[in-house]
Amino acid sequence: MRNEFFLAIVLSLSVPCFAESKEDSSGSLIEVGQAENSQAQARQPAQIETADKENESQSSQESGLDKQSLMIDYCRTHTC
Amino acid sequence: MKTKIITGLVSVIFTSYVSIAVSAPPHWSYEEEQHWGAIEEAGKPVPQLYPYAECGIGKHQSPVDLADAKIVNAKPLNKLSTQYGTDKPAFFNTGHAIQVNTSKNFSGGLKIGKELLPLVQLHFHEPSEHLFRGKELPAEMHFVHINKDGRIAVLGVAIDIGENNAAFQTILDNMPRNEGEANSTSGIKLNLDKLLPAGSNFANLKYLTLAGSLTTPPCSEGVQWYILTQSMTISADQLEQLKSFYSDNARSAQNLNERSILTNR
Repeated sequence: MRNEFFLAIVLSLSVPCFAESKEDSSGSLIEVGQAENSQAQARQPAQIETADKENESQSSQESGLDKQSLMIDYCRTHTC
Repeated sequence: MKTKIITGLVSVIFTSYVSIAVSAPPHWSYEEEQHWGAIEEAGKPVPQLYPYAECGIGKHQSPVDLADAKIVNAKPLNKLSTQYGTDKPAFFNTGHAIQVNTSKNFSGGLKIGKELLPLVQLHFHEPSEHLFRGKELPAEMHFVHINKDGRIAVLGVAIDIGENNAAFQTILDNMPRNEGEANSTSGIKLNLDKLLPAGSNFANLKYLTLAGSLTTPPCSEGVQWYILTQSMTISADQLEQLKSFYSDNARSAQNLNERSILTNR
């Protein structure tokens, strides 16, 4: 009888504790997830920005080279 | 059937010939200089109808009368030096001027501060285009450089009568007589430094600089001009030889429109 009583008390205490710990862990998971997600979101535009910048500088270099070669061709065939 | 194929082929060839002919820029001449801006390109809508409009409406046009300008000697300017050396160029008669095109592997150019701008071509005008102390000189030479962004910097050198110039004679001797012809296989070596004023300090040239334009149609602006304060010389006989190719191929001085000229004199 005493054993059953103790078991009941232990169980009744352990369930909220477990539930609480589970809530905690699930909260932290969400937070981590959110943090990761937000980090990922934060990282994404930066990565896109970097990629854009790389593309921009590449395309501006290319367009610069295009402009240079176009101008060179023009000035070799015209008085300029 | 055969006739139809031949007719088809002829019409395709004719159409492509016409489209090439139509896409060529319209003809211009120095006689009609005042009307360059109004020259029309047939078959094009406005504004492409007037490909040389900038010649008429531009506000930073070249050449100018350097005597009219407010010359500023206050700011420290970029050091200007030439790194031309020798090349085996092509000699090209453009139909408007005699021109020397550098070879494709030529690495010489004009150094403005730390940037080296490759030299693409040089050509001659008779008389000078810029006016010096309010007067034209017998001729003017333009070294045309183009940087990585397609921007043009021109080094202008006034030509006066004096000592014979051997490098200039090489150009005259190898220049084709006919308009549009190029002599690109001569293999003749030309020392481009020898075209600069005798006694020039190539490592630190004295110059005037201003924003301007091409002096021929389409008169595009955004050209930075560097005009040497010293002139080079050719003999009177060499000037006559130059005139036998092209004479009066110089645009008249344009309005400064409040531009100031900087100098490191």
